[in-house]
Amino acid sequence: MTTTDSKVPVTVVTGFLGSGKTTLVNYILSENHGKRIAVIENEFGEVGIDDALVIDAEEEIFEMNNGCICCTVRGDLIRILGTLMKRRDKFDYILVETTGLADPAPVAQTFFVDDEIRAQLRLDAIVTVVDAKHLSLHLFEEKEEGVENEALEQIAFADRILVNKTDLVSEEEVAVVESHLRSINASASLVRTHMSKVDLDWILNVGAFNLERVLEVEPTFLEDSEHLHDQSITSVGIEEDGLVDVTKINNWLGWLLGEKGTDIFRMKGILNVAGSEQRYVFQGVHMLFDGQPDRAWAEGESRVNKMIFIGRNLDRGEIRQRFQQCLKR
Amino acid sequence: MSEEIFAKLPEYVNAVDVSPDGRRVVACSVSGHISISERDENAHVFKAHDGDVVRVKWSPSGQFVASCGIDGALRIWNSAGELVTESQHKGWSTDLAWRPNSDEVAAGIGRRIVRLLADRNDSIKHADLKATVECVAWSNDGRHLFAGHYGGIAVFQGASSPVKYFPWKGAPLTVAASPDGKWVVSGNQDASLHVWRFSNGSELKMTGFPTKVLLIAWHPQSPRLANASMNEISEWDFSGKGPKGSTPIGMLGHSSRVAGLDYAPTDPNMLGSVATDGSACLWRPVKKGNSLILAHKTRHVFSSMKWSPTALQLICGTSSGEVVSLSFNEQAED
Repeated sequence: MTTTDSKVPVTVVTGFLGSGKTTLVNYILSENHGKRIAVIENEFGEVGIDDALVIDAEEEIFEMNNGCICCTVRGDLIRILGTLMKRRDKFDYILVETTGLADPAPVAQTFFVDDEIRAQLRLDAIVTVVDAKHLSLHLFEEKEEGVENEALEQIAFADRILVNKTDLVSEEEVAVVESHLRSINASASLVRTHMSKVDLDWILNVGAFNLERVLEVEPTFLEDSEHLHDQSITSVGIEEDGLVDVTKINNWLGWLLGEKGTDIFRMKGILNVAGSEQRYVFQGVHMLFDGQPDRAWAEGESRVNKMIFIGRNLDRGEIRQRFQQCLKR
Repeated sequence: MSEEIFAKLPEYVNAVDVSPDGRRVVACSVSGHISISERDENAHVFKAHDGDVVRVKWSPSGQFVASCGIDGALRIWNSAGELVTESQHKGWSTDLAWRPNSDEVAAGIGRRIVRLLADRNDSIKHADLKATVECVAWSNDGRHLFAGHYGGIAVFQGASSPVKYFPWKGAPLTVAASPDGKWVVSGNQDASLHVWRFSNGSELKMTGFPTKVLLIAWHPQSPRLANASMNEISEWDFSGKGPKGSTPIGMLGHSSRVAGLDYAPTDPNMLGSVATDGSACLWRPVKKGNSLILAHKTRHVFSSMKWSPTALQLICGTSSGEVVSLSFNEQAED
């Protein structure tokens, strides 16, 4: 078991320009939650604790020499978090508001790759705010080849999605937006909001990266029928009965991280391993993988292997077929 | 070993330094304060920057103190704590260094290098670099200025653009040139040391460190480099063709991150280190056998350290804002 209690939780708020991110951050700060929250606002490059500290910092991506995507981190965040950690007695929660165009991967990876940050802080959840009225504009925006569609990636990385500005669209339109979101990210929880007003317990201290809470949210798997055309980012869910062979699953995970790590943004899963009375749980961000035996299977609990992969150009058939080969005959 | 409190700052001490005559100690805090203190006298504590003061250093003459902070300011103070001159820029400052034998200080602020002279009211601004400057250092002869940033090390020599560039896809956190000027070394975010031969830019990389390398120190007289990563200290031999293919001397005595590391000016073959677990160690690095001479445990969480230039005494900053001196008995330690 990892001890997470002493670590300060960090919520990352993403979302396209004008979606309501800043409104959400201001709403969180204005609510009476009893927490002392430090806010890092990248849109203006500022961080504030008790309105006292303002730091200018530009978004700066550090890509390390070995070319591994998981070693791409945010240099500015390392710096800002480093200075925040020197005054840990001043706050008990950190909110990071990214710019509308931020790629969420380096932000998330910063919390796993930098040892000092990993030792003292814990990424709690990625919360993405979506503008219900303008979402489709961003999703279908034509991008040059090789250029990321950040709106899509911010949705793909999310643990919680606020479907905001629902007062500006019809019920039918909201339903369409939600089915788009589901087809991209089947494991995030969705909530409809107006002016980004949301129950704070729903977005703070969620523990989305805690292994103990993997797949606490039951993924909603939509089959291919709901696919958006031209959409390269999707969720692949796998649910299979059977006992998993340890050696084979290790090889499978090696293949998955090695071959698909660049394309897989997030993954989570629970496995029923042969010879073990405990659930095996895992989660990952790109090639960064974390897995361990969890609690024992409960009496009467159905021992099903459940996994979800969110990423680009994922071949459901291939992933599933290779997984099935890991099952004991 | 005797311990003495020199000063008390409101919060975490980012850096400490001792004047060249060994009499006065300066320290800076994330609270924005600087303290200047002399033994047996009350420390003078004053607000120096808006937000964290990242570095403070005495000038080589001992007349001035330079400070830089995340407010983007580079300031020069006299020893009474009065502002002498300043230069304000956008972005935050991460490091500064006095040019040897001069009253000129250089700091990285945002993506640029700013140089300020204590006796003149103007500053030299260099062209913007490709990324935020993380670390600066001068060559021992004062001719070259090194600025480390994500993407490499820029070398300045008076002109506003770098005269040399050591490009490399990585993020240096600290940089230093060897006293003989032959080598430039950076400690890096990706848990490595990167080495360049100054004359031709040929590179060498040392890996295998537990975490990022935050501290490096050159032996003042012989080509030896010490570094710390997490709780591990090592020393590399740069004599002859350099450390390529060699194994460093490993030194284990701390149980948590080393917060300060340097060779003792009064006894250069002795290495001193302090860590966040409150331990202070003295070492004489040897290839075979035990390099540790002394390990002392205190109640402090050390955050920074400097040797006194004139005595076997470590001046340490702590995470709770104290400035502490640890004095060692010269005879007793050997």
